[in-house]
Amino acid sequence: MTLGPALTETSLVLDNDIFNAWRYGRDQHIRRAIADYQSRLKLFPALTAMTVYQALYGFENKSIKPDEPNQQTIQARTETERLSKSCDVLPFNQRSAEIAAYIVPRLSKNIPKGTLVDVFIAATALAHGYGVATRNRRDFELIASHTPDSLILRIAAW
Amino acid sequence: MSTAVLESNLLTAENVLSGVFSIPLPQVEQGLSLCFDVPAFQLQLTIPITEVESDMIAGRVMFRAKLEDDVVLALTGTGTFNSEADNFKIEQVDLQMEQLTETARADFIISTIRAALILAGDVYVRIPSIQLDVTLRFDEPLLDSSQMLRRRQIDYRIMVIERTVGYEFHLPSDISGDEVRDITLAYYAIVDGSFVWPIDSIKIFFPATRESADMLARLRQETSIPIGPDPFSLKLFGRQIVLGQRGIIIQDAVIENLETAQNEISKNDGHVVPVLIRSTSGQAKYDFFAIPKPPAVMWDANVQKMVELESQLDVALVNRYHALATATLAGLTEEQKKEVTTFPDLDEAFIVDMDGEHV
Repeated sequence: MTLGPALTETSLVLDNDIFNAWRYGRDQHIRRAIADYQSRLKLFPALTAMTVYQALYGFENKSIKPDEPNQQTIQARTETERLSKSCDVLPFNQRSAEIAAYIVPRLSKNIPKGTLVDVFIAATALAHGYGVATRNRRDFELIASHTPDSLILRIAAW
Repeated sequence: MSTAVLESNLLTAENVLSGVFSIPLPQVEQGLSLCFDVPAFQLQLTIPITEVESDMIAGRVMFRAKLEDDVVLALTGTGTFNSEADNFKIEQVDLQMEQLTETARADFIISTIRAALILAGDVYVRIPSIQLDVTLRFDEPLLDSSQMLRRRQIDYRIMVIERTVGYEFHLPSDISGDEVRDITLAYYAIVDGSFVWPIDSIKIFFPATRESADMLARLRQETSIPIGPDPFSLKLFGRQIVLGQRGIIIQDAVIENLETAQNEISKNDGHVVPVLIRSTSGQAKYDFFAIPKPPAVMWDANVQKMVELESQLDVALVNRYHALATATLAGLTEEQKKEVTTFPDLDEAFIVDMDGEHV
């Protein structure tokens, strides 16, 4: 297992579940965790390109339906773009691809489909030297057991 | 990560809520001051004006003010000259900040003022001698403000190191990721003395003796392996910084080359054998001893005032980010929110059939 805790100075990316919880704005624990993180590092958690893709996919998927996009959808999408541009977005680059390609074949064929998305998030985080803030520790533990070169996946369970 | 120290420190406020002053302008010798009032942070700054450049016919007037020996603020008002009323109406204000020295202190002052002006909302700028009184609002992208606070933090940490070791660094134009890491390590060593630090593996050297064989046998039983303490220093911006002694306790430790090391040590001929210890959780506890202590009074009044703004600046920025995050779903029904935040499986999202439709 190459899993480690996120340390005081560990830069983090947000897993999709945390990103959405932040957007819903109801979970005070998440808001506090983000505030604590900013207070330590002065930066906000980064997003992976995969998370930005998925956030925008939600709007595009809605926009192709009848009577869409309506004004609220357009406005919400604009704000989502503003938010993602206000965060550092980590690209899925060559190194991310190498890491993901190493992990995926080593996972069980019966993994939940969402785990594949988490692999891309974890691979991006690892490639850029970041950890992952998530509520889904189990998925990332599974991924961490298959990282190449003993790369340590640092997890913050928010 | 790297942090650029030098950049254009220009802020522009296009929405000037007031700002008419009479002409002619008095001379600098008459004690002109540029006064900033930032109510959101209870911050007031009065900075002596050292130079006035005015070309009112062309619609421009500039006041340069110097904050100690570190920073120059150049406030440029562009607007309209009214010859009948004999006054000048400012319509846009540019505020340029220049550091006169490549020091952490100068950069810290600029970063703090800039962050405060951006995050404050309304800012009142006055030049009492000419009855100039303008209300400004500076608006910059949130990411820039966030990076400004990060840069301010790095400057602050450098300043703490400087005060502790009694030396002021000349900063390069760009601070590398490795330098940021070293600054952070030295800062924690000085301020905390004991902390957990990321580590991958560490190589230590044993002589091939019977004692080493016994020690290796003991270490392999341990999950926390202590090393040192040993004298510790690091080089920062070309200068060696001595930080006393450092003890390391590698946590969740495994000996990577145990078999090879055991074989070599068992030769008992005194040759040096490398032993590679890895932390499976990537962490070690660092304990610093006999480290230099910072002075009891760290800052002059101006810097102290700016240091104390930290938590207020953080809160102001965090609130803006939280507001933006919730705005991404504002106005949508619960069903719509669910719709736009339910993510596709990768195969569903990527696989497309020949007609361009999802399969």
